[in-house]
Amino acid sequence: MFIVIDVISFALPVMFSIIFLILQQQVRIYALQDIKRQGDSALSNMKSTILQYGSRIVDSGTTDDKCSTIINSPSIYLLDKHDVRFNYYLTGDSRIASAGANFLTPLPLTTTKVTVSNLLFSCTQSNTFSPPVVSISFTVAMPALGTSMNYSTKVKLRTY
Amino acid sequence: MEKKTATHGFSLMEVLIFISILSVFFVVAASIVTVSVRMTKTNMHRITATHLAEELYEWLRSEKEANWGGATYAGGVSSFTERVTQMPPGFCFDMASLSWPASPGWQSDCTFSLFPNVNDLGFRRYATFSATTVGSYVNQVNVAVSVEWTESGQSFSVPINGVFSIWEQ
Repeated sequence: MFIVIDVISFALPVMFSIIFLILQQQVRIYALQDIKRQGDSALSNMKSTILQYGSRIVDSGTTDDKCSTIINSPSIYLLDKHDVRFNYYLTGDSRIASAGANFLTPLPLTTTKVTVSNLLFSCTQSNTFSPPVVSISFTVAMPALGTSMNYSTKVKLRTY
Repeated sequence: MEKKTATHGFSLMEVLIFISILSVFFVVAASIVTVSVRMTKTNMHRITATHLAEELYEWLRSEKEANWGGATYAGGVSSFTERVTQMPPGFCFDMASLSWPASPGWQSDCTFSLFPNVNDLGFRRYATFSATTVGSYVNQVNVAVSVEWTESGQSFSVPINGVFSIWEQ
């Protein structure tokens, strides 16, 4: 009887620690997948929208071209070809959001499950008549799991 | 008069059979768990490698967007096309941050280095270029990005292939 109890008292903790190990691995892989999915989605969304609709880089108040003044800015304002304004910025709860004149409310591009940091926009123009090139970079992370991924791209405005 | 009470227990044979069955169960379970944990780790590394490959591909596309150029290499590297038409036709890129290495190199010389998210093994990322020219002008550049790593004596790789060309054409 004692042998059976001994075996069970040894086996149960081992089994639970194995289950815990597997679950911990699963959580990490899920976190990594979520970070990648949300980062990819936000980057793809910003890239395709700016590429398809972005016509000019402006600032929040005016419609003057401001490409040269956008250097590592945490937000960016653009006009489409009908001069409708839209912008991207980092919200207080560390999400990337898009807002625009045609939007009723800002549209978050990431969820609160992940934390976005270092969202930076820059704009360069090789000469006055060449199309602006918008640089976008940000980091998506799950701080609790110590996992993060960096994202960066450059978009040349097509409808300039 | 002394009363005899019947005691119920396990015989040695029963205990041995029980322990044997339990041992077999644990050996099988341990091997399944080992394989499962290894596969999970491989999948985590694959996700990281895919991100590293996509990050490099996107960065190269950005470099192309920013400064295509069009000329082939003739001693100076001021544009994307001049840089990617050098010999050897590839670059070994850093894991932590992306920038052009000082000079191109062969894939076999590219070393494995640690990536911050994965502390237990090294990756290497390499991009190979081949340009198609029209006259002396580079018409398009074929890009092959690969991220490689080795775990449990097995080599893994995530390849991404693409074609860059200037959109004005």
